[in-house]
Amino acid sequence: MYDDDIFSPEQVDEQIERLPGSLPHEDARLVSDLHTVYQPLAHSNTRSLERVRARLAQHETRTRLSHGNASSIPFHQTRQQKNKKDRNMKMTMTAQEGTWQRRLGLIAAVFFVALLVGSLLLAFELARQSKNVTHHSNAATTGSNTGQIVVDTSPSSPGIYLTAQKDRDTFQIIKLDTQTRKQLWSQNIGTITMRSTIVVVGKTVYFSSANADLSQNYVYALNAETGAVRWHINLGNSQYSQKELVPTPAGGTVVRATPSTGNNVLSYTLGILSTPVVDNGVVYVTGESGKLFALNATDGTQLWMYDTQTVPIGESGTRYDVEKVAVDQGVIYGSIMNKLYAIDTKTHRALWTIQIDKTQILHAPEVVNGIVYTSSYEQSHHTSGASMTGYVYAFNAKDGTQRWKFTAQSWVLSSPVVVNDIVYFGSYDQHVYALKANDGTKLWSVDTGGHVYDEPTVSNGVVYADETGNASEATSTASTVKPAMFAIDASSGKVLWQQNTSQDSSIEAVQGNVIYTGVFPGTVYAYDTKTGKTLWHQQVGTLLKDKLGEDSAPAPIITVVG
Amino acid sequence: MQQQEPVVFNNLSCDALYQRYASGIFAYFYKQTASRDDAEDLLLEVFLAAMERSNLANMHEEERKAWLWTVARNKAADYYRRMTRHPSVNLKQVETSLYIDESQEPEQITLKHEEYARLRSTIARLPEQQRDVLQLRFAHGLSCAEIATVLEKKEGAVRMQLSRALKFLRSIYGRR
Repeated sequence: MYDDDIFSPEQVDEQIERLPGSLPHEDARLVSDLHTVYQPLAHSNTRSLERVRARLAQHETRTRLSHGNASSIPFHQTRQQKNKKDRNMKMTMTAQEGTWQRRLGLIAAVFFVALLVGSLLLAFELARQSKNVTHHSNAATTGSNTGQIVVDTSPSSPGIYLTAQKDRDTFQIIKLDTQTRKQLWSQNIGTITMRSTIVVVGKTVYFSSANADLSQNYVYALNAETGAVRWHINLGNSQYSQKELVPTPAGGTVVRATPSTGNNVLSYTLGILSTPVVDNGVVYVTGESGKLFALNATDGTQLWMYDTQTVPIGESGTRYDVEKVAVDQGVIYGSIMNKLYAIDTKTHRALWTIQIDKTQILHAPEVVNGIVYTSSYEQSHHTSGASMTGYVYAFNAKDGTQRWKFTAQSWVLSSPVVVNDIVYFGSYDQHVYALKANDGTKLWSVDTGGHVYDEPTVSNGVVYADETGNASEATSTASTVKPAMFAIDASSGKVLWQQNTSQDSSIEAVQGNVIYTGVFPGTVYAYDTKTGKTLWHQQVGTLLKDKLGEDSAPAPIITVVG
Repeated sequence: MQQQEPVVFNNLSCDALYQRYASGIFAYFYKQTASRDDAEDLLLEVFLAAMERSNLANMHEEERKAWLWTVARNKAADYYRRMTRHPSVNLKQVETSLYIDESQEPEQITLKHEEYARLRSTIARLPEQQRDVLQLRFAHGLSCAEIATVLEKKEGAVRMQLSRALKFLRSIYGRR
């Protein structure tokens, strides 16, 4: 991205909302910090809106009662909001309403008591399974299978799965035919923040999403053949405000992990969920709350939960991503901040936990042949001149002991990829690297001329990677190279071809002879894997224009199943 | 005029309306009244009017939006008239002390970290219009188009203000 394009009037809304993917690191941090600075006021505003909403609900309930329609649901909640929001609203109503509300409660209780008694056993059963999960009538395997773990071993349903925007407030998941690219189905997801990739296992599509204020954080399962929602579950959020900012003699402040005194406390709503990972009929997803959730892939009920007791908030208050886990041989491997852990899927207990240098932030691990590979980059210190170290690691899956560690020349901003005993990764130091998996020695590196943010994709002996220009935050110089995509021979490191990408795009998938990239606005660009030439491009979702006539649909997130 | 029975207008649509427009209208009232309680009351009045407006469901989206905002601006005008007749606070003073009021809320956090302090002090040095736009963007979660409605300005002007503000703030992150 060129410097002039960052926060330009035409793109400023889009760039703030697409944090952090479309922005250079420092600019993404500015947006993140602004969210943090305004978060207390934002919380107050959210509460105001909830209070008014609750009062509207009361009014509607009164109106309905006065017209003999007491059984209606007060002020309808959308399907996505129902669970947690409803509870919040009821709590607010109770607090505000006093006697009148209690009387209403009594009347309602009389209406419902017979029903409750009659369905007591059923209620217990439902309560046991989940307090939050919502099933849908078109779910394929709920009902008699509820509670049972069923492993879907059917081949994954082929197609191009991607996100699109239907209108300004509604995201969609869309499936296209791989050959004809005709739309097969679409499913509206509502107002969400989509941080997860789309995962297709057998006949089901999984992903996670959040609403704007992170009060609802869902894992979704859609029928891959029809797009119908099989289930979705709200895993809730938590407030994090137990760190006290303590002044230092030098005039700065540090964060001290002590119980809140009510003053100088950083507060966050922690809710964002990682990309789901499905293994043996169980969906594993991690949350900003530091919890790892295990859900029944069939019906979304929560099976168990593990708390890492760590939240992805840096010492200087920076908020970091939640990383997906890897599952291998009945063990879950996960990372959060500088902590790497292994959990037994049977006992739900940690087998081992290690902590690397506390200045480093780990990416998602990958496990191959009993070795856990991961990478890290140095935390933001919110000061100029901070060092930008980055590393790639290999640990023994059995006990977490370190096998080797490779030092890059700058941040490593995505996970490594391991194929045929070679570890591939890109770095902010403008290189794509290949290391020997067994000892971490460098096989080759390619100078891309620009920062590499995304993890490479390896397919049929070729490494595909993209760079995003070489603009320097430190010297405030604009990029002198255009964003480009590279095809590199996986063994020799020879560049097979290099293709400029006209706009800030990222490689989302490689399937068959096609490289799929998501490009702003709302477009899929497909390139030939052999030549890098554009094969086709296609607008997805609605071509949204703002009032100035500028495009505003975000770049799609794409998963392709061949 | 025939007395109409209060019709609870289509639940789904009303909920959707609230989701779509309540943030913007609340931000508008908050800015106009400088009182959270008053802004909540006014917002309630607007949506009560919406719930009882039987033909709202038949309107096009743009018409619904226009109707809601017309009601909102009328409510604000009524509020001003009430305030003029019964002035309890000087509005100008309230307006300028809004930031301080917010920081007095029990849940308000005083961020004293070096970087946040620097960011806040840099924000404080921005022109008032840019501060307003930042607050509406980050504290109310409004898009430029929505901010334009709240501030009764052109969207292009809001985009320019937000762009300028962010580009200036980048300077404290090692850029110029």
